[in-house]
Parts: sequence; structure tokens; C-alpha cells
Amino acid sequence: MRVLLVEDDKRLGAALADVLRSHGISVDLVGSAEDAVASLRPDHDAVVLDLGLPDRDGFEVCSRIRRGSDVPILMATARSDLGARVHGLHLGADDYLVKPYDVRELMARIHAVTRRSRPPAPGAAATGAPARRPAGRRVRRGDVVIDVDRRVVEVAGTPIALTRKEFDLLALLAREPGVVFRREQILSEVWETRWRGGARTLEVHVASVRAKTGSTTIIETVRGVGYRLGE
Amino acid sequence: MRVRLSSLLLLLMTVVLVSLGVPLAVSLAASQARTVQADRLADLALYASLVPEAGGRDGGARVGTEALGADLRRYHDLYGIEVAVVDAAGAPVVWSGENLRAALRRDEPLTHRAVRAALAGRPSEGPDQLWPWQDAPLAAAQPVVRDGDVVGAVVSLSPTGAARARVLHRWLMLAALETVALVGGALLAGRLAAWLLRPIARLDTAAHRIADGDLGARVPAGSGPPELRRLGRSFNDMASHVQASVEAQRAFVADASHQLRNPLAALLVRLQGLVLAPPEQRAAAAESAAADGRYLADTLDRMLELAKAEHTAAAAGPLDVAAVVDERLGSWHVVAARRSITLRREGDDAAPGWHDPGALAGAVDAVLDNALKYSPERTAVTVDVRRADPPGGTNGVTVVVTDEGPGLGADELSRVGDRFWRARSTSGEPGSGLGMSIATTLLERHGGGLRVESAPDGGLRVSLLVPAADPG
Repeated sequence: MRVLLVEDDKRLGAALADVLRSHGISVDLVGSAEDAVASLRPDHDAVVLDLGLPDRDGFEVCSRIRRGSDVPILMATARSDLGARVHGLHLGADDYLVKPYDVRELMARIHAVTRRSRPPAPGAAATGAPARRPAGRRVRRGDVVIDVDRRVVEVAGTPIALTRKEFDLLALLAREPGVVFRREQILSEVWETRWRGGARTLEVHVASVRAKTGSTTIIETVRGVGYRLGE
Repeated sequence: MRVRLSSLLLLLMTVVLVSLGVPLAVSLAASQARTVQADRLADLALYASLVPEAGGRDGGARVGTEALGADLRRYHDLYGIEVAVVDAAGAPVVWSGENLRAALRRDEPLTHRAVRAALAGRPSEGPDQLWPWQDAPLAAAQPVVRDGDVVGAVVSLSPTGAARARVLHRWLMLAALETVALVGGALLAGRLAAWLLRPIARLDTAAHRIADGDLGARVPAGSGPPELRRLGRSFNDMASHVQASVEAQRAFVADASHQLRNPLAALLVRLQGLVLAPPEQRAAAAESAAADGRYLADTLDRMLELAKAEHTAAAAGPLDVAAVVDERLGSWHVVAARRSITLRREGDDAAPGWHDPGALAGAVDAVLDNALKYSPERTAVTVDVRRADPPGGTNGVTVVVTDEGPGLGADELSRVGDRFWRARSTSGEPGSGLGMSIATTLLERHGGGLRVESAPDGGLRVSLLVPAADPG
């Protein structure tokens, strides 16, 4: 996953970029409206935009990006700035975050906003619409091939039997290869529960997937945070 | 307080009424005494002249005294006043009643003084005052003089009841009048107190409204004694100051919270990201977080400095602006040398001006800090001190600090004094955007100012303006 981060405060921008990168997301950090418009690429999955840019640059970035692309835009505003939020939504932003950031919320909203835009219609490439990263229909890691649509996992060409939860877990991680999925997100999406105690269940399922696929690297543990699809 | 004031006025009135009334009452009693005394003496004088010649004890003399005795008895019956004639020794010779005769024979104290006086040749003196509660009869006496010799006296003893009743009657009238005056005074006192206290009541209302949160409440200008009117004006001034101060505080807090948001968010993000760092990178990640925390603390410090700069007041006085500048330059040379920046000093050696040395030094520091921070290495920062022209004139002293840094665009120039504002090119450089704001506040406090322009060759030119003399 690749994100364009528009933040003029260098310290805050650096901190955000670092934390996004440690979740396995690639980050391009820019500090002004002009740089933002110039740096936007088709392979950006989302734009995280600080609306508090000086001189209303934030709104300008929002509308200029929206004019040329339908990339999801996540705006960050001050808690008290309701007017700015509404205006930003009108100008084309898709969702908002309140400063100071909570990293879990930031990650959840990034996932939410990119999930909505996936996958592009089959004919999109033909019409020349800007393409993002490829839809995760078939993801290959070494011997393991994960076919998300058909709900089949093959190891060296042979389908293996995974339980529904085991497959859902693997499919979730394969949705954004390399991106760290936080434990609470996995529990929320796959087990549909907010129960924190489900971590043990999660571990068991991860171990089971590793055993059945015969690969210890298919799922990589990120200590203290969650898991991701391995290299 | 109205009651207290009225009571006070009433008390004063009472004191005045009493101090006037008592002597008047005494005078009334005295006047009656004199009237009665005079009346008695006049009657006695008449009888004294009627006393027959003392002579032989022949028939003529006896007939005279008998006739006199009958007159006296008639007088006694008519007026109730006993009269007697005594001889030169004080022994009664003719009398109208037994009481007086007995008193005279025994020379009782009642008549003693009067008799002695008359026998000495003078009419007797009566009491000074006729008090209503003294029911002793009044003794009076006149001498009987024949051929220049006192041969006897005529003595009267009269009840004083009627006279005393008159005194009492007059006293009661006096008391009644004074009571009426007191009641009238009480009413007037009430109204006077209300008039005096009305401005205080208005002051109280305004103070209450302010205490309840309506900072705009003021005392209406109006009636009342001049001291209270002045109090009202002072109160209004104070309320305006309080209101301005509260507004300034609110604005400051709004400013501060707006600008602390980003550094705080950075710190929080770093801390949350700390848990993601692999163990070997944790130390570095923690150090980044700590650096962000320190930056936050520095920003807070600068804000406090600005708040203090706006509210402490040191006195201004005559000083040498050039001396202050040179003293500060001494410290900044070290910083400049570290970055290979040349600090040049030009202009006058001495420049008399009027300001607070501490405030001026602070402003110079802030401007130099700015200039050095944004000057690239191996450039020059020039400090030009120009004295007032003409001396003591309205132009004041100027200290012009010019740098060769990136300068500012035209649109940015107007915003450079805004609190927390920092030019686009500076985001991320250490600095809180408060330096120029602080310098401006410090200078303006005693009539100075700050001007920012673009230098001809691209850098920034900052002029500190210091008045030449007390602006008054």
C-alpha cells in the first residue's frame, strides 16, 4: 500500500511517516499544496491530508486532487473545526481524522477508505482510468497461491483444506500484502468481535495456517502489533 | 448603611438640639425667677415706704403699725403672700401670718439671708432659677430706711407654685418644638442618606453584574458628590482593564492550543509508534519522541515568555541604545562564529534614547536570533545603529538588522509579527514563531516599534525603533 502524506509540520510529518512505514505502508511525504499535486501518482492508494495547512492550502489540495483523480482522501483536522470538516467533505474528501492522531484509528480509516475503492471495474484499465495497485485476487508467496475469489489456497499446485476462519485470516492479510494488520482489526474483521481476549485464538489460527501451508514465513508476526503477509 | 447614615445625622441633630435646648430651658427658669423676685421686691418697697416712723411708743405709732398690719393681712389674704416687718435686730414687729413670724423669730435659714441682706441695706437676692421641682417658698426682703439709716426691713414669703407651673409649661413647649424639629430632621436625614448612597448602590449593582460574568457592565455617570462620581469613573476604568485582560487571556489560550496541537500530535504518534519499533531501534525511537517532547516544552516556554513580556511593566528611562546593542552583540558573536556568519556593527557609537534596558535587550536578542537562524553560513548580518535626527526629535533611534538570508515574500511580510506565524520555508526549523512577536511587544511597551522589510538584495531588514525621549 502506498500513501501520499501531506503535512507541513516537519516533525509531525516525520512521526506519521515513520509509524505508517512501520506498518508496512510506503509513504511519500510532502509539505505544501503545490508539492502535493505534483507528487500525486496513480499508484497512491490514499492521500492523508492535514487540513490545517497554512493559508487554506489544505482545501486547495483537496479540490485540486479531486479534480484529477478519485483517490481516497483522508483529512486531518482540529477537534473543534467542524466547519472545516464539512467544507472538506464537500470539496471531495472521503473521511476525516481528528488531531491528535490515534494510530489505531488512523490505520483503521486508511483501510476503510481503501477498501471502498477496491477493486476497480474489470474494464477500468481499458478506459484509462487511473489504476491503483492490482486487485488482490490471486496472491502468490513462494509455493503458496491464495485465490481470494474462489476461496482456494494452493501449495505447490495442490489445494489445501483450511477452515473458514483460517482462510479469512489469510485472505485479509493478502488483501494488502506487506501491510501490518493490527490484532484488533483482524479480530474485528475475521471474528467480528471486539473481545480483546481473542488474541490466543488468533495465535492458534496463525500457527495452524503456518502448519497447513508448510511455510513459517507466509504469515509474519510483528511483535506487539499484529501480523502481515510475509515475503 | 442608609440606616447608619440616617442614625448618624439624627444623632448629630439631637446633640445640637440638646446643647441648645438645655441652656434655653435654664434661661426660662431663670427668667421666671427674676420676674417673681422683681415683683416681690416691688411690693415690698411699697410697704417699706409705708412703715411708720419708729418713734416713741405713743398712740400714733401704734395706730400706724396696726393700720399697716391690717394692710399686710389683706395683702396676705389676697395673694397668699405673707409679709412682715422686722426691726433692726431682725425681730418681727408687724406680721400677717404666724408662719413668717415664727420663721423670723427663730431666724430660720428660709428667711435668714433675705433679712440679713435687707438689714445690710440691700434688696435681697432671689434664687438664680426657679426649678419646677423646688417647692420651697421664696423669701424676699427690702430695707426700711429713715434718715439714711436702716431701721428695719420688710420681709415676704411667697409660694412659687404658679411661677413654677409656668416654667414647666414653657419647658414642655420647648420639648414639643424640639421633637417636631427632630422628626423633620429624621425625614430629611433619610433623604439625604439616600442621595448620598445612590451612587454607591449603582456601584454595587455594576460590581455584582461583573462578578456574575457580564464584563461589560459599567457604572453610569451621574449624580452624587464629586468624590463618588470620581469613584465611579475609577471603577469603570478598572472594569475596562479587567475586561481587556480577560479577553487577552482568552485570545492567548486559543492561540496556544491551536499551535501546540501539532507538536503534541507528533509526540503522541511517536509514542504510539514506539511499540512497533523492533527492540534494537527502540532507543532511537524513544529519543525521537523525547526530542518532540522537548520541542513542545520549548514552545511552551516561549509562550510563557511572551505572556510575561506583555504583562510585566518595568519603568522606562534614558539609556544609550548603542550600548545596549553592543552588549548583546558581544554574546551573539559566539553563535555567529560557530556558523561562520559575520556580525558587522555600523553606525553611531552612542545613541541616547528612552526605554527599559531589559525590554530593549530582549527585543534585540529576538531579532538577532532570527537573523542568525535564517542566514546561511558564510554570509553577513549587519547591525546599524542610527541616533535620533534631530537629537531628541520625533524620529527616535533606529537599529537596523539586515541579513542575507532567504528573506520573505511580500505577502509574508505583513504577517511576520503575528503570533506563532512562521514563514513557509521554515517549517521544521527550531523556533516557535514567537520571536518577532515578542520583540514587537517589548518595543511597543514604551512607545517603540518594529518594522520589517525586504532588503534590496533579497534578505530581510528589521528595524527596531526606540523613542529618543519620554513620549510622555
